Amino acid sequence: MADLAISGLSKDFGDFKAVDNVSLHVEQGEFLSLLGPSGCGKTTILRMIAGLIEPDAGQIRIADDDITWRPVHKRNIGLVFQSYALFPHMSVFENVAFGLRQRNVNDTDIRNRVGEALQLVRLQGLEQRMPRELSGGQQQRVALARAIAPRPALLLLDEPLSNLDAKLRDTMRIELRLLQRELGLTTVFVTHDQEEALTMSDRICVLYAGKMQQIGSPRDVYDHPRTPFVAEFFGRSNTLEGRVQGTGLPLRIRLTDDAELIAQTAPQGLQDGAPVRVTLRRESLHLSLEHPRRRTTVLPGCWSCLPLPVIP
Amino acid sequence: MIYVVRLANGLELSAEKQVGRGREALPNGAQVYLSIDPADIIVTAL
Repeated sequence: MADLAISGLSKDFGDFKAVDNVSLHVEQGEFLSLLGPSGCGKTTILRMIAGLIEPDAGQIRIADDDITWRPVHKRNIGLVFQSYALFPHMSVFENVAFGLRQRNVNDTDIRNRVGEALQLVRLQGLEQRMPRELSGGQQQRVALARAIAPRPALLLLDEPLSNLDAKLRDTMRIELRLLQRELGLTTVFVTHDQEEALTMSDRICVLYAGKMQQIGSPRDVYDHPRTPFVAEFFGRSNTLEGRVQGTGLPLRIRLTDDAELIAQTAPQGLQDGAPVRVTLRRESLHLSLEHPRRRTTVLPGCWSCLPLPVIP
Repeated sequence: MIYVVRLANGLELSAEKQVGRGREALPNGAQVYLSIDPADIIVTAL
């Protein structure tokens, strides 16, 4: 296992800036998610770490070893894709053994390490099955066993749960995280699913338009977003714009001529009159027929209420 | 349950309220108070 350091990583595809000067560090044994909408650059970063795409600029180091220009097969990285990418003509055993054979591991060690990897993903006994004879969840477990069998320094997961149904996805989230912890694998996990990132990660790196918006613990990015994008990307929210009134905390924000909010926390350095975005998460707003007794910010006036169906 | 609340000044906000198990749904068109803990207000610079 090892740590991963990326500095100044950039990649353009023609006029499209896919990744723009991204730097981050993943601690040894840490589970980091790259999270963002389609086209934010998360998969491109993962593929550059894997060696499947060459960067235009920047450096990638594993355990302080510069691997930026090293070929894929010499990086000691385990990869799992959304589509499993199993070899359809090979048995489960041969799929898992593939990376070991490429590394010229002897037959005895191959048998031991394939057995060990299949036990970890709870597929022992299915060694001779072909991929077409397995369920989606089992195929993804084979892909995972194949990735961990060579004992990689780094595990890269590219939306590995996206093809599974909702129930199986929930189970696999837990299994994957337990396995990663058990092995102490430094892991980079690509996802567009906020809930997945929030529940699985030690830290989340939020990306938008090729740029890193914020990196931090799930609680940090959810409770203390630093950019309007991050604030709106998590949860179901209301967004309003206003101007700061005065300085210091608590901060008064004028939304309209007759509506004002008082916030307890705010970014540092906001000047009087500065434009700001205010995000109010649905679950933070309290509705009542009577004036609330608690010490809260009550939005002015009384308002009509239109019930809508629950949005799942 | 998700409610859309229309403010007198025209702003519309959506809010979530637990209903069931002794928590009654709000009647359609009711006049309501909308409140929030100042610690839950997220401010980002533009």
